[in-house]
Amino acid sequence: MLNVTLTNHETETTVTLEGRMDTVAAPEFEQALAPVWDMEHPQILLDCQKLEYISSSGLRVFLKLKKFVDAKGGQVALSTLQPTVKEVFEMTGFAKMFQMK
Amino acid sequence: MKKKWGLSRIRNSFSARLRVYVVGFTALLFIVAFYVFFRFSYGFIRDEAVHRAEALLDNTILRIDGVLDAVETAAGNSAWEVETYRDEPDSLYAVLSRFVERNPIISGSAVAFRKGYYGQGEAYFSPYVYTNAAGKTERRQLGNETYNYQEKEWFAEPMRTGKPHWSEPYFDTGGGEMIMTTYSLPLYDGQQQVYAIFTADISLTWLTELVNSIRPYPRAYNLMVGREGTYIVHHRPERILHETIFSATRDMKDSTVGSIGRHMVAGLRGMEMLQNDDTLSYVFYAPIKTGWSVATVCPQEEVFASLDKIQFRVVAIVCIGLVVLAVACGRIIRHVTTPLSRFAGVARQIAGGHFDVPLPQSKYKDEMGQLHDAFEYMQGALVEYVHELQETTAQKERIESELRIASEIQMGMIPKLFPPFPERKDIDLYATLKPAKEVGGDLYDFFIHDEKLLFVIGDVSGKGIPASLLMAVTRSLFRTIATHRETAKEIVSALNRAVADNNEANMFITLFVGILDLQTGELGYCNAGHNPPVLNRGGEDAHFLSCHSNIPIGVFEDFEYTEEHFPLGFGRMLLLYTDGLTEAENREKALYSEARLLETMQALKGLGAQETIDALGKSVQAFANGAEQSDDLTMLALQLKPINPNT
Repeated sequence: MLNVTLTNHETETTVTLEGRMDTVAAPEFEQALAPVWDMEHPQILLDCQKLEYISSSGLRVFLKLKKFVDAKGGQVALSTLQPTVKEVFEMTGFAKMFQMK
Repeated sequence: MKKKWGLSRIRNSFSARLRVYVVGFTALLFIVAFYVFFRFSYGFIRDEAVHRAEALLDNTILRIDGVLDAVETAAGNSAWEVETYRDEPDSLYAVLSRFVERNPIISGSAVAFRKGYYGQGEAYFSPYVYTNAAGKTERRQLGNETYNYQEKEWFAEPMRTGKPHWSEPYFDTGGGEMIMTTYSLPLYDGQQQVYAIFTADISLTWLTELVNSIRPYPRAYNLMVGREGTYIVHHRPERILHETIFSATRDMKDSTVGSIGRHMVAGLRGMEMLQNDDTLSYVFYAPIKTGWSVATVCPQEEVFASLDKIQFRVVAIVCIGLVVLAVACGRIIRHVTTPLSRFAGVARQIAGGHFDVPLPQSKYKDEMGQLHDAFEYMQGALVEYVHELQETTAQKERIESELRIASEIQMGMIPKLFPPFPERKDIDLYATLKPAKEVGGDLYDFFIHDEKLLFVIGDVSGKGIPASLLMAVTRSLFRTIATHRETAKEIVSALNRAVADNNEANMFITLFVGILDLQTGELGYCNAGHNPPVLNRGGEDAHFLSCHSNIPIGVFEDFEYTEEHFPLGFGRMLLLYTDGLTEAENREKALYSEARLLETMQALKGLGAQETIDALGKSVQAFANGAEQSDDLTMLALQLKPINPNT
């Protein structure tokens, strides 16, 4: 189960992720990001403090988001990651792609 | 099948139940209607009976009074003759004879003189004329030593009061030998003294007949009592003059008869209920002028006999009606519900797969018609649905068979013959790939080129057909690219450029590419975001091969991948795997984890490639404990065996 919450703070949008992002949850996450795909200058903070697990399908959505934000000239950052998730990010090199806060 | 009756039939048969309801409700309605009807009828008939009985009673009393009046008038009219001839006894006989003859109702008449009116010699003088049994008039002198009329009521009472008087009935022993009553008219002299009583006897036979002519009902009977309650008229002759209404009814349980008697003696009129020998009767009574009282006793069952008769007939008619209604209801309901039974049969046939079974026709657009339409619609919908289902199933089967073929093709793309290089005794290599779905996104490959073993293990993001397509592309690219490149880094960079180009779906692949020098045991490798392999050898703890964290391929076209080197040497096991191993889940969603992997590997030291992978597979299976495999699981174990220079 994955809970996705979007909150807007002036120019920045915080995306809070709670639970497990497996193959089933990844498309849901992609749909939950719908408002982001319409943004002109996306400033995104992914709050992953309560993200327990991420599969490669989940990483794909992260990658898509990263590419979209880069193309729009915006920024995307990750908040504190749990150790297991952090391992995945580091192993796959995704840690390098995202700015860590 | 034998028809079942009784409760089970009522429970199981709609028509039987409906019939019971209809007939039951109708019967209830009838009962209520009859109750009301009979209550009204009862009151009405009772009032009618009272009117009728009272009218009869009044009429009779009027007739009795008429007779008595006639006697009084006759006596009054003849009184002057008696006056005129009072001192001539012989003439008095003639006067009395004429009087008796002129008035047939009068059976006898006397002029009873006061004691001593005719001197001492004739102390009691009373000429008397009467009609004998043969109808002839006879004359007698009543007054003598043995018959002292001065004490008789008919003489004493009017003498005392000085007023005309009707005597209580009595049985005349000296004259008429029948029940008589006497009208006494006092005669006055100049000094306003009563000197004689002029009497007129009448037989009560006519009175009995008159009273008994009151017959409102066949079994009604009448009675008449005197001023003291003595029976004058009664249907039991032995009681007449011998018993009073009080003495004869002393033993009766119902005490109302006593009060009726008192009312009658008191000269009242009224109506009362009387319980007499299990018979409830209405008693109507009224007085006549002499102070006597006439009563007629009507048994209640006779009063209401007509009502009883009507009641019986109505109940009989209703019972017959209810039976007819029950039968008719049954017929009608069965007629109406027959289509329902037929629909039930049709539904069962449809359920059995006979969609084209003909429906029971309905002539009307009523509920049955609607049911028919609904069935028709259901039939059509079912046929359509089943047709669709067949198509979908066929399509699904086609897709499944295609997937099976795709799976076979995919599996055909990766080397599966082990040992892969039977002629090379120095290479111990074994690998397995177990997709989570029919087709997966994992891949591995290896081949020997220029005394070097080139190998790759990879994991496409996602699963299923999209992942498998990219896997097939990557594996083909690897085969073509790898032979023309010197280093692992070059191979990965080339693959990255090829995959990243036009990667609209943002798919990516984690890869580990290695080139192992079979002579030296030197390993050159490039890790593109893949799980770090495990190194395992006796004399050291199982540990991960250190890797730069390069990003997966397909993300950025011009990413600079880095090359690393490690002297693998001989006798050291290198285990490559995908995250399907470390992220295998059990039922509690716990992960197999890197720690557990190292721990397991530590225990598997000294085993060959195949044994190692088989043991790992079992370990994962035991950990999952029946949980569904969620990701593709691929493992590749590789070690160079030390070559004995002597062989």
